[in-house]
Amino acid sequence: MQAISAAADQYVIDDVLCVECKGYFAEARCKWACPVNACVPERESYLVRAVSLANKGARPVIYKGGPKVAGRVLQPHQLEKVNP
Amino acid sequence: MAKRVIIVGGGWAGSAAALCARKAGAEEVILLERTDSLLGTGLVGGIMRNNGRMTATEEMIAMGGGDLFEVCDRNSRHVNFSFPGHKHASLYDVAKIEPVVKRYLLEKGVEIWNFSRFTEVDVRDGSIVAVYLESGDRVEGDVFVDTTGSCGAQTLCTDNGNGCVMCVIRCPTFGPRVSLVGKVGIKEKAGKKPDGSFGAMSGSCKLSKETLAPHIREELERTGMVMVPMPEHMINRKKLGVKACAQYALSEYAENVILLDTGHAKLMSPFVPLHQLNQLPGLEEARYVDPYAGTVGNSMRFTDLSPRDDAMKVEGNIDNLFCGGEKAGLLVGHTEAIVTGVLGGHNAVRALAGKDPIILPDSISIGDAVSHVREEMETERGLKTKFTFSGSVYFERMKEKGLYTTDKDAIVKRVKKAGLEDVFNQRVM
Repeated sequence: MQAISAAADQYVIDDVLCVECKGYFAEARCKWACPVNACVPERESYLVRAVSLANKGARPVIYKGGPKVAGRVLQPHQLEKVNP
Repeated sequence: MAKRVIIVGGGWAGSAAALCARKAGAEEVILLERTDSLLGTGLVGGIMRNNGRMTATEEMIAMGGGDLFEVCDRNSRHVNFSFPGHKHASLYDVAKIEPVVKRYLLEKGVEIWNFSRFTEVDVRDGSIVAVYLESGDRVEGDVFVDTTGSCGAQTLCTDNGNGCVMCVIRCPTFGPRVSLVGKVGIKEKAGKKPDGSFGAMSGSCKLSKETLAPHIREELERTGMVMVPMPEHMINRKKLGVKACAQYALSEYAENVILLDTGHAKLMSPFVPLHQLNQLPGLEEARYVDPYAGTVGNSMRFTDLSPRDDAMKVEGNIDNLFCGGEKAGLLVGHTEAIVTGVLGGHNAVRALAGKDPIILPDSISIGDAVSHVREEMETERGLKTKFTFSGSVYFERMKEKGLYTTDKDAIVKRVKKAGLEDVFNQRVM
């Protein structure tokens, strides 16, 4: 695997593999040198990585109504899993 | 088989809709809520009965749909007090209100589902028959009310606002809002900022009381309000114009840091960077608690507004869908969400019972607001305006039309004259 490879009309830098300047400069040398600011590594966004609790398997928490709730600690019911 | 009403979204509007659907005689009412708590943006609210909201609140109580207002009254920290531009306000305790409302709804027979984010819909022959939750569960119903609001997803705030400010909506944890109206393919409208750009910013912020100087905290808890003047170089009047809450877009809110006691210290001056806030006497150690990134302001709002009639029936190709709250248009606030929620929940049950809906006349301020905002949503100017009983253009309209009054007897008389006394307490099926 190469850190720097040739594409059609430009070079592509894999910022995970490239360690050419790591530890030597505060800013990546490719970013510093690039005239069109094109090789700033794409940061993997936390927006894309966010996964909700339900998506991780959290089940609905159900509170049944009725006069019996007065003065009592609320005890939720859990649905049986429909799609095991 | 028992008829079932499904309310999607458990904010103030959904809670009011669920309660009134039960009161109207629906045997089964299920309130679906995405997160672990009811009330949504109501968890950062607190201000009730200010200006024209007093009239709307008393109208709704006279019409029999005022349960949640009375719950707020019973949980108020301060009543009948004034702050700049606002009279006879009361402040409910945002730290304590949610379990009280939850218990109240349960006692009235509403079934509450938390962690129940709606993601898909099953439509047959022009009617919704079921919704699917993110968990995969299918929930069937006979009539549906969309009270999903207009906050989130997180990208709404990152793309159109100042970024995700880590607010009470908590999109990344519970998953973003999904619009039921949008999912059935009905085209929604979006509110705009005064400059024409998308959505509106909510400026609501809370500070931790523990981080205020003792004398500020003492005054706040004793009187309900503290005003700390800002030095001239920190005043930025321009930011008042981008807020959703036009009733607080007054110069006092730019020239002072105004704190209200809603359990936390509610900061009424929007978008004050923490390092500026900390330069003010008594606020040197102040910290934001909601949103945590209060420095840059709060969530984006007023996107995905549903086309609807004055009965809160969603207009379009679906025959059993109603709406309430911010979904129903550009009405800002918890009072406004409750009154439209009541109307949507009640009329959903009337539709189930095969009865004509209740449409409130313009002799009642709630009826006038519902129809006026619907008309204004058709215009470019209207979409840039926010309407509330508590200030700005709609409160002016209330005063011009003689609708604003704090005289409870006059309000009861007004409601009786319209033949609407206790109407939301009547079982219709």
